Amino acid sequence: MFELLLAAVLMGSPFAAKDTVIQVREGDRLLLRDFSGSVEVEGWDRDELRAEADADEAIVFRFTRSGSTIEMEALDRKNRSRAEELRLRLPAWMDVEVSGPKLDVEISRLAGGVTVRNLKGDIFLEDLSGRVNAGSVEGSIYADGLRESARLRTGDDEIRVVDSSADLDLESVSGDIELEEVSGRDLKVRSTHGEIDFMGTLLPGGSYAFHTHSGDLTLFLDPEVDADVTVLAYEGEFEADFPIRSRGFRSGHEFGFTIGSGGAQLVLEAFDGEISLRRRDFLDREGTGSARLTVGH
Amino acid sequence: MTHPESQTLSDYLDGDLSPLEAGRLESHLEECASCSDLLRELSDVRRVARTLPERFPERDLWPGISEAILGEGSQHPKVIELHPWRQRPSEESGRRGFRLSYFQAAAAGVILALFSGAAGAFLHGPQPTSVGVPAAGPSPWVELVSQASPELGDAAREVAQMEVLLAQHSDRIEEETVRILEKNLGIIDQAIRESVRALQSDPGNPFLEKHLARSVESKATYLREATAFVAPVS
Repeated sequence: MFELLLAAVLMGSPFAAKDTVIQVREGDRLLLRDFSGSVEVEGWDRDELRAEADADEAIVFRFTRSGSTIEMEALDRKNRSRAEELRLRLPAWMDVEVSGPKLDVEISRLAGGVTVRNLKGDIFLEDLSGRVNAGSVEGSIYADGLRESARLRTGDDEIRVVDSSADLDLESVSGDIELEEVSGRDLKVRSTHGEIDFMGTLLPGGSYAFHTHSGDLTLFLDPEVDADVTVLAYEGEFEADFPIRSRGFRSGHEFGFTIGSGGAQLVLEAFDGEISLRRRDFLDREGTGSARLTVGH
Repeated sequence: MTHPESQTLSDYLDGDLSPLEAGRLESHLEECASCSDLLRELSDVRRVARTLPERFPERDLWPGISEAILGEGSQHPKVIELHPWRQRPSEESGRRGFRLSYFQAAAAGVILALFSGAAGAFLHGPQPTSVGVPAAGPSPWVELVSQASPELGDAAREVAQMEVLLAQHSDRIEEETVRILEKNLGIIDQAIRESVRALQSDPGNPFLEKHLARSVESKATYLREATAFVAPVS
């Protein structure tokens, strides 16, 4: 295996923050594994990667190239992995993968693919136009300005996505999922026990699927929305501000109806949660309850 | 390369790595005894799980198992713990105060399930296993799922293998994170139990079948997130 080793020693006083800069070439991918602390990554328009760290001792950055992958490590004098606060600037086209068991991550202004994984710690994603894949066992994920596609998963804390046109695949166990001003064409949102709130646009021909086991599911939609809706509230309730004409309803089985002239495919399923389909312009009201169905076994 | 994540090893066993990735991993395995050991463990668990013959009880235990787990129609529900990591003292065995973590229970339970093929063993009271551990925990759902939806059997077994892996290496995770993992895995197990119960009352309901499959996949996804961090470190 071909490896190129680059090392830069940052000497200096506590909290020193000297730069280390390396040249990269298009198609390169940055890999950071087993980091602890915080990592801030921001894209820029240069074909260089700049790293700096705030630490209370000297830190060595080691870059190991294997093909197009550049693996970066931050080590102390005894060759132990160290990174208390790491800041990186890299070409916006670059793919980056960051992981660590106890790690806060902030990534912004990238067009390349982004992969983030941690056990605990919060993940902030902003202004990303490539594919995003982020997962946390117990941390929160906040995303603003996703443009292509994103798969986000958390166990315990919330997922919040705002102002995004990306296709989204979101999943939580007990954490809440909140979507605001999202307009992707393909959304899949699932929770086991967390609540799901959606406020956004359903595009004609788009596919929107929301599933929960025991959380509540609430959608705030434009009153002029056109959607073909399929609902299944197995042991929960369904309430809508929109007029519903549907035949053949059977408890425990799905039923469908059309809002407006139809077009967007909207699926709402809950085993034991409450499903609410509300008009955005009724946001400040309690809901008209024009249609309400309670099902149970 | 640094130590691969357990998911990478799993992908390697599945033949899902590219030739380049596989080559890198093999080079690392030649030099790293701990990763080689982990790969061997993973391989052994898979081999055992896949080659064990299906064993059926001499009589149909399912109605009793179902009743015990789900408490349906029973005035005296059996040993189902909503919080399986909190083991109640067993008056029968006199093992008072013995506590199992979710992961320990999962490991013991899954191994027993794999080797005995009898989910009912978990359901009629805490019983010592061959390793002297009271049988308890979430492992019965593996057989529950397989019974309720046979096509999910492989997925359930794979999830069980990840539970074992996590149990073996959970000491590498902070206690607070372990507590949260336990809580959320318990929530998913509850969803699985409720889905199975609903399927029993309404067999063939396509929503319930998909819902159960989604719950199993949720557990797999969550376990993958966690097990990715428990590969051995030197």
